[in-house]
Amino acid sequence: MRNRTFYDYTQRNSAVPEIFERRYPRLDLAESPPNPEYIGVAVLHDGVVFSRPRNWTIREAINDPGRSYITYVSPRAYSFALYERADPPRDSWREVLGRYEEDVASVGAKMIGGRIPVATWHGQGRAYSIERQVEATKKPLISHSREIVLRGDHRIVLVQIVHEGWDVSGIEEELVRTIDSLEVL
Amino acid sequence: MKRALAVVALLGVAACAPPIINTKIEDSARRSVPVAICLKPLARRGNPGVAPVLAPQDYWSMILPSFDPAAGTVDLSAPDCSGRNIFASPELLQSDSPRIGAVRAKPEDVITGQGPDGFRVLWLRTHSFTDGSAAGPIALVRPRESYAEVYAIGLYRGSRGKSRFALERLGFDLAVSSVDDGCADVKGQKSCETVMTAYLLAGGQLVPAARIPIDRLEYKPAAGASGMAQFRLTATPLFQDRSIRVLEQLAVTDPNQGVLRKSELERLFTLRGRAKLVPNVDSLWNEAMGGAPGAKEGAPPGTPKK
Repeated sequence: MRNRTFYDYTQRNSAVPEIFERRYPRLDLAESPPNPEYIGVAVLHDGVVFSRPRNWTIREAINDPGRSYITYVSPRAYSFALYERADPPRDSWREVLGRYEEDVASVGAKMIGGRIPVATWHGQGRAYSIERQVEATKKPLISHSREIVLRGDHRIVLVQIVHEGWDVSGIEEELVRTIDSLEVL
Repeated sequence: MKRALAVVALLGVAACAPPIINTKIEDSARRSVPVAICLKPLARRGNPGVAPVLAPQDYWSMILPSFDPAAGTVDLSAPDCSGRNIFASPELLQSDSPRIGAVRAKPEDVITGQGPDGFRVLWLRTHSFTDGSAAGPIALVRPRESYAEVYAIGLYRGSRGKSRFALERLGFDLAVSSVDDGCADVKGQKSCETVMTAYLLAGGQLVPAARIPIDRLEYKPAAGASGMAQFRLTATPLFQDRSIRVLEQLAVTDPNQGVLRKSELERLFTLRGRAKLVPNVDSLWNEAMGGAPGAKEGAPPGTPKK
């Protein structure tokens, strides 16, 4: 099932189909300026739980087994997405990262940095900085993203943060909780 | 023998295992730049691959979710589509319009500037001032086939009928420009100023990064002039990679003797941080006016306070 409706959690009574995102109140956190209120959610067939700012909007979601994903946009001009990877969870890092890097190169994107070890609440990952040119009149636009290949016991997911500017310095604080709380089940 | 069979069986299985294919769908988000801060499903739809023609009410509701189409109003107490309370800006305190509650959202108060690749710059006039100017949200948006994306929202105040907007490129980055043409239709020996403001996108906001006078007239005594001399500054801004090059020309003209003096200057406004354009030299105007605080090139109006 593919969803192209934009669900806005700022409207408290707006309903998000649980098929894409289920509430997970254990990871809720009250607003603490400058950080917004966070809500705990379970996504990708309950395969990933994490705490996210309430003010994100779901941009798109698909729940096809083995290739499900969900993307959000933030009012602070970044997007956050989780993609289920097809890689067998028992494959070695070398195989998993090799496939991911091939995918990046095959679409014309460029790895600025990569294979940096990161840890979340329950998951280990390798982080990349990706740059991609996007066709536009006069001159291409450049997109910058921080992407983490993250593995749990039963699945491998890709976390992607597309942001403006060359780094995540303006949004880092807001995202720390989201990344730290990620559990890949 | 058993072991050899097992190895053969395993190799056989490996040879027949389906290839692992990832969808590469993640590239779609990489190509979605600038990143939208609000997404608005559109009531009207375009043909496949084509954005629909939008009506003023589409723009009002896109930026201000409190827009009531039946009443034709927006609620000044309600936040914009990104959740920020844009109407709490101190710039609006001197306005004649109400501070809170519903105000009229008229179709003629939607001003649009077209950009390439489907981008549009919107100015929604919500507030009026005694000097005849108006103010309200300014936004960079792009209608898609069935929805619209909003990328950044700021606040603009300018002449009601003499403000125009455009999308610019600072190299790989996008910028928005507004021109408040205060010198249009000026007659007689009246002072006037036409100003261009460059806005940069930062964290979902359109931040005024530089205020550049591009036409300026003033009449005052000058050395060698028989009467009141005309001081006229004209400037041509050129957007380039991470900077704006401004070619300034200042002419002092005597009504009887013609041009008394002429000077030219090239200024460079360079991007500093995410949302500030800093000039390398002062304007010719300030020099001609004896350093008087006339060029108004400090922090542009609407600059967020830190």
